[in-house]
Amino acid sequence: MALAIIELLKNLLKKPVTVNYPFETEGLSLPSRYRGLHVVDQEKCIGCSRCARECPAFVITMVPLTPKELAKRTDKKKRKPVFDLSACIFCGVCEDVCPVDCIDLTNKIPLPEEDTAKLVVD
Amino acid sequence: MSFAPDFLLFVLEGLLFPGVVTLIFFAFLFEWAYRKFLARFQARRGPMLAGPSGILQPFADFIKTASKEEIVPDAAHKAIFKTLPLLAPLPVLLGLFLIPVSSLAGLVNSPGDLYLLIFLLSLFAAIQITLGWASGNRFALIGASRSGLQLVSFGIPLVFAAIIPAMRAESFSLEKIVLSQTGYTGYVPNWNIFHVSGIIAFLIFLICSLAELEKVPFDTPEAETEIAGGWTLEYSGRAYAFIILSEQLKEVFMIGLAVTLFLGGPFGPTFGLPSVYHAILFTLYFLVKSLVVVFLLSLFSATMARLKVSQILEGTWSLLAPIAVLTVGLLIIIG
Amino acid sequence: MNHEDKPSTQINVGPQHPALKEPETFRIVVEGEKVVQATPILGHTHRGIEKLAESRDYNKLLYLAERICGICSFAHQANYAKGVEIIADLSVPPRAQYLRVIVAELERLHSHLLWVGVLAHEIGFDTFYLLVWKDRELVMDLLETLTGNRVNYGMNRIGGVRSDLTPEIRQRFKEVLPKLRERLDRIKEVAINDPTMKARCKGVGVISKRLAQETCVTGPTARASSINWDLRRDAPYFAYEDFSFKVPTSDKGDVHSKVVLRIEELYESISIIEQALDTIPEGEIFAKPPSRLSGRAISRLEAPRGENFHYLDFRESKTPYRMRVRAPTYANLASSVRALVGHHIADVPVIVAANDPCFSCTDRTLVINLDTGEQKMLTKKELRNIGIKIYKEGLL
Repeated sequence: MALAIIELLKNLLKKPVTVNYPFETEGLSLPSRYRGLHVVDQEKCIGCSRCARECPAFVITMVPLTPKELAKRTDKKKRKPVFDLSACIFCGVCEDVCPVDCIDLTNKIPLPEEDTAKLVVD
Repeated sequence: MSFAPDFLLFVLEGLLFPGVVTLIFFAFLFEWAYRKFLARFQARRGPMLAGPSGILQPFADFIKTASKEEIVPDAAHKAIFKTLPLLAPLPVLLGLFLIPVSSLAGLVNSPGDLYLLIFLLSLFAAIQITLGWASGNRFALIGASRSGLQLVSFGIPLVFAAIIPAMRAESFSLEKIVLSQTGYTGYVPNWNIFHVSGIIAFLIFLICSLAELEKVPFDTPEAETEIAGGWTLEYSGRAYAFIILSEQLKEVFMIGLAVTLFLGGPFGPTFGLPSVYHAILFTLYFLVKSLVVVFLLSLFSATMARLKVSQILEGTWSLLAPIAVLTVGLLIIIG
Repeated sequence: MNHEDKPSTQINVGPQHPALKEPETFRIVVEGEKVVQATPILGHTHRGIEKLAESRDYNKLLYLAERICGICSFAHQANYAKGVEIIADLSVPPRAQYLRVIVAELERLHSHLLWVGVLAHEIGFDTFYLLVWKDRELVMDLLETLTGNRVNYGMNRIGGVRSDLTPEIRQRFKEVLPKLRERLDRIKEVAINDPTMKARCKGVGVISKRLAQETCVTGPTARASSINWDLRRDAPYFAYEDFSFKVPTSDKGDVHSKVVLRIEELYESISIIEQALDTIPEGEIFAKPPSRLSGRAISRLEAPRGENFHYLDFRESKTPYRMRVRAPTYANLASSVRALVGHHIADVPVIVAANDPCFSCTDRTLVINLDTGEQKMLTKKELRNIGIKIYKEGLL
């Protein structure tokens, strides 16, 4: 018990362990493997829809490209993946299965939104 | 001096300084300090957003709780359930008026202060039991019965611990007890805590205060993980805010009593200042001494787990009460 | 026993109660402060995972299996993957097996530390609880660096694992593990010697060896009641036969012995991780599974809380015909209910928490008649009759 009291008094002098997030972000970092906000390189994407097939939460839908976007493409890509983050489980399977590595789960944490429609990323 | 200004002064003292407003301010301050100390022991931050370092947090809590919806359960005794919580802070305030804060005597004083205080302590417990019973909840009822058990078991050591300063001052008046501690022996003040029997009595008093304030390890009447808040369980909104307020005032009461009985009350060096400033100085001394007691209380409750009711009964009757009685004997022998 | 003649009160601990972090009811009959009867009522968090499993292909099921439990998510996922690998007769590369051992042991570390904290909170020792959880963050950080997430690691795939151990991560492990062991010494000292901790846990909720055998308990609960059984040693899976470790047991069966036992297990976990880091073979981290599966498998695994059981039945398809999960809490619940009788109300949360219950994993026996909306719990007899009927009609 005496040892416990000494440890508590030491804690009193030390800085608290809790970080005052988000006001303080000093010393905080996410590992590079962290699975956060999706970034899709639509230029690179070939529209194969493997990610949509493999997604365990069924949050990726393949949306047809607009005529404007179609005009820009030289390959046969006709559709692009759209992610509904409101149902996403951030497992990173889409990143794994993409044959051209155009999907990247970044270190960014998606911000909370009132409207789930705002959580759709393409 | 005519009657009117005196009376006016008395009302002002009673309401503002060192009366109700100041005491409620103290209550919030001590609660904040307690929470902050506890948090820092646990490597947390504690309250931090309301005011500088979260000092306004208890006040914010009070306002927020008071503005919430009040729910009266079907099984409750409606009249008691609605009115008694609002009256709960009153007896505590009455007790607080007896405690010297800004001068050597309390706002109200009599030769038998200590008797009244001890009576008031059991009144608080009676109110708790009634509140728990009136809410018609089984957890609350268990909490109420535990509250009663604690009153019975901690009453004896508490009274014996409180009697030691009275014996040294040869008076039951708090003013006399404070006066008896004003001198110095060398550089050491004549506080009761610097006496062999006084330090033991002080420790017993601290332990009993923890029980009286329902803090860990003696928070069985409202043990959150066992009986989900005990006697306070069904109260919400304004009623709960007032219950919290009365609990916090009780904290001031017990701490103030500890300061008065063992730490020389509000008395301290006056540096030859005119007596007008004494009130401010004394209040400051009282605050500092009280915060030391708050620190001790939080340290004590941070190092312990909640005990069981049976263990508390065993501990008080077989350990605390005999020690308290022996300490009184010790004081009689060595004087 | 008839309690009509004595003044007794029935109180419901749960489904909403501060002591239980998950919804579950314990209907408790008390006389004064003493518990004379306790009945668990399951089914508040039934999520239909087993039914849902029948509509997912086996790759997607990995992530559903992971979400059976929040704390032992890796145990469920790895156990499921193990079952599929048995059906597919797939040999998992040794490096993947080692990585699975590392994550499984890290999970045991974080789960047991969490449990010590929860127990401390149940007895009102919040300082210990917060300081233990502070040290648990070391483990969480390691898990995050290795797998990419603090919980729901998404580490497994059928035939291996998804992320590899790099030299930098190994270095990080080497730095943190000794620190963790140091902190563990401190935690153990407080848990064993603290007077109030002893007062609240010693001799409380004793599960005798006989009771343990009768109620078929698993995991640390069983080992604290002197049942020397650990799947890691007695039915090795992954790469556990490559490591030397002790299986601590105790013959006291009370809550305090469970605290000590779990902390001792953590030392072994750290040692297993250190051995694995030193001897991990090079090579691939996964093997490609076949596209269709056929067959049945029973897969068992020593999760932090006890024996984790998955039954899988594939019939020439990608989706299972049946998936059955038994989480360890289901096995341990009966023992803690029996242990409650005769103790005080104050002991109820301690005894219930002592088995590290995870009710959300457990709840899967509620039957809802969709036509009438009627809910009922199946009794043992009914379940048995249904089983016999299915067996006789050859439905299985």
